[in-house]
Amino acid sequence: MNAITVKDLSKMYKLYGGSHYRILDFLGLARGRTARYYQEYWALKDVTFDIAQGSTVGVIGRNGAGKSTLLKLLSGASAPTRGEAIVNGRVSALLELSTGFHPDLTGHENIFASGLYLGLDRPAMEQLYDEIVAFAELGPFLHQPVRTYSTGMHLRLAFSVATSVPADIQLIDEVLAVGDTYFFGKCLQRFRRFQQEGRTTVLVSHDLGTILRVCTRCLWIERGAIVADGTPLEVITAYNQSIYEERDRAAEAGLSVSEVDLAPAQALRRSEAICMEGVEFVKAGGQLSRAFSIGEPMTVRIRYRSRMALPQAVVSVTVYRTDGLTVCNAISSMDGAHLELAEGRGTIEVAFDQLMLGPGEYTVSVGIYPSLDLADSASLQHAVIWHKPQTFLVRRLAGVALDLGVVRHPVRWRAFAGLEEKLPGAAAEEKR
Amino acid sequence: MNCFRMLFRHRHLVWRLTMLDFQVRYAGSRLGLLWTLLSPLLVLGAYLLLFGKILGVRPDSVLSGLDYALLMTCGLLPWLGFSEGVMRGTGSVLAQRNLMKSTVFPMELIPVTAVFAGLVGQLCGIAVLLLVLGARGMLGLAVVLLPLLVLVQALFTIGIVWFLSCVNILYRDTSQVVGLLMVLLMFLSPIAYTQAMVPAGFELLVTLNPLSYLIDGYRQVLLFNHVPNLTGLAVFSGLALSALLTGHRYFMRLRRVLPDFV
Repeated sequence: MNAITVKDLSKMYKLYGGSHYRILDFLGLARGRTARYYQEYWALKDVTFDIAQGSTVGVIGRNGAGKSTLLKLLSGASAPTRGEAIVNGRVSALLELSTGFHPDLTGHENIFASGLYLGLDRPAMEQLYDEIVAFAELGPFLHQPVRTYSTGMHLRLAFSVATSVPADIQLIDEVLAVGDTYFFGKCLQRFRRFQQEGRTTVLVSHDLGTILRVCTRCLWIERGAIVADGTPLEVITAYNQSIYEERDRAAEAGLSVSEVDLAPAQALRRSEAICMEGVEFVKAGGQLSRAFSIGEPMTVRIRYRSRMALPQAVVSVTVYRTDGLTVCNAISSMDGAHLELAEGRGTIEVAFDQLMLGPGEYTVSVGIYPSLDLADSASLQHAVIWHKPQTFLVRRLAGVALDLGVVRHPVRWRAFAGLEEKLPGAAAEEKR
Repeated sequence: MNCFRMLFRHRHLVWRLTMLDFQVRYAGSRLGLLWTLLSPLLVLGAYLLLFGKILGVRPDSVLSGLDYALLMTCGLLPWLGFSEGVMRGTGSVLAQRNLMKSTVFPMELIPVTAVFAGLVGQLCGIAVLLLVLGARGMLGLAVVLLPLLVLVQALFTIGIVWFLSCVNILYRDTSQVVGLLMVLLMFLSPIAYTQAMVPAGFELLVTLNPLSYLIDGYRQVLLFNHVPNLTGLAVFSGLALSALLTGHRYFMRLRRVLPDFV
């Protein structure tokens, strides 16, 4: 039997030009003049699927794809514009962390208040109480007002209440991300228990690992429509592929996917003496590019203009991952390079003979210094001039969806029989 | 009549939600429930000082200062119950919007709860008033009609609040406007004065104000041991019923789309 049957489900939000248009529309005065009053935004359009009882379905997709709208419609909290969602059984939904908690009441009191909102009377709630408290593990905070809770405690209590009440269908939206690893493990156990009990679960998450671990099926939603529906492995692979392709396209087109300003605050400090006109990434053949393959040579070319000759300049090229991790830092003086910058226009090149970076996006910031003290950790910030960070991309290997890490380190593999290999040298030593 | 069935079916839930409303309101406050008695007493004191002592208002029908105080209390208590219900109720759905977003909770109960929470103060006040009246031997058989008055008042308030709480979501200025109107209405209602004291030419202010029928009803029943003016009571009951029915229809019609606006 299907726990959920969704047919041609659509949800349109009206984006009003102003709040008075909303009132006019409500009074029925906006008919026939739609375009002037609001724009239509279809968060979901003609979505059709069934969910069998007892299955655990993950929903993935980019921000604004319509995942949360779908859960709201399934929970009945929002009404569809067209189509229908038939849900067989009792629903328990955890769509937002704030759900129904009164900040001034204690956790203990809020458990019973939530019971009221979920339609459970006090005796029923008392039966569930021990389970809820044990799972939430709030310790002494159980009898403190909820406003004193950390986000994690809030999540633990909300999740514990929502998943402990009797239900046939469990809806969970994107809240698990704030929990720690320990609590996350407990959540996974609970999802497995639901599977054994035959409770149907629909889970929205950006953490593809979670979906892969607990779900039996995965839906990928994009711009309000289902793009893929199948086993988590299939769908997630396809999803990753599309994201990488989009990144590649953006990179090839010379657009920075996410130009994070990673350099220190004075990144664009003006200098009278010298200015940088551009930072480019050059392929082996000499053509400019922003996308490289693992192991490919990449040259960073810096074009500058100086009013005077700088006979002892130091140049740094720092590669960051987009989350701010410093991946590597090339400093000309450390590499024994003696750079003489001529007056007028000039070019500096630093060659990465083989890119040993894992697939992903990287940001490069370039600084020029009159001199650099390697012993002073802050000296990197005292550049004469910084260039705005530039982004390049290391392409994913075809057919590999695994996370390969930051460094594609050169390694050698071998295998041999036994526990220890007798090396010729070691054997000679033994004899002696 | 759907709304009567709904209210009856959820009567336990409404009761517990009202208790919860109190729990939330006084969580962390020291005097707690005592406030529900203290605040009407303070307002009454201020009224007595202003109208009884400073302005020297004294209706013809009463002689002593205490009688005037009782007359005023009979008007003030239903007024406080009404205005608190309306003001709390107007903002109630917006304040509890998270319930609307993520659970399948009968939202129509939220304004109802606010009205009942507003009534609790009034009922506590009436209990004290009954003690005073009883001690002075002023209570008569007509007091059995009191629950009827409270009921009609509650239905009237619920109807209004069902409407206002929806409007407040679409148009957030509503609660501000309602707050102002309540201040005006307080002076336009015969709380510190009686209908008889309104000068000629201004009677419309009283006859068009539904609350004057309600307040007069309370006075007749509590102070004069009279059956209330039946026409007045009938008019008010009719108003209450139509407010309740239209308010409920309006709320239930908007209920489905409201979550998109909070």
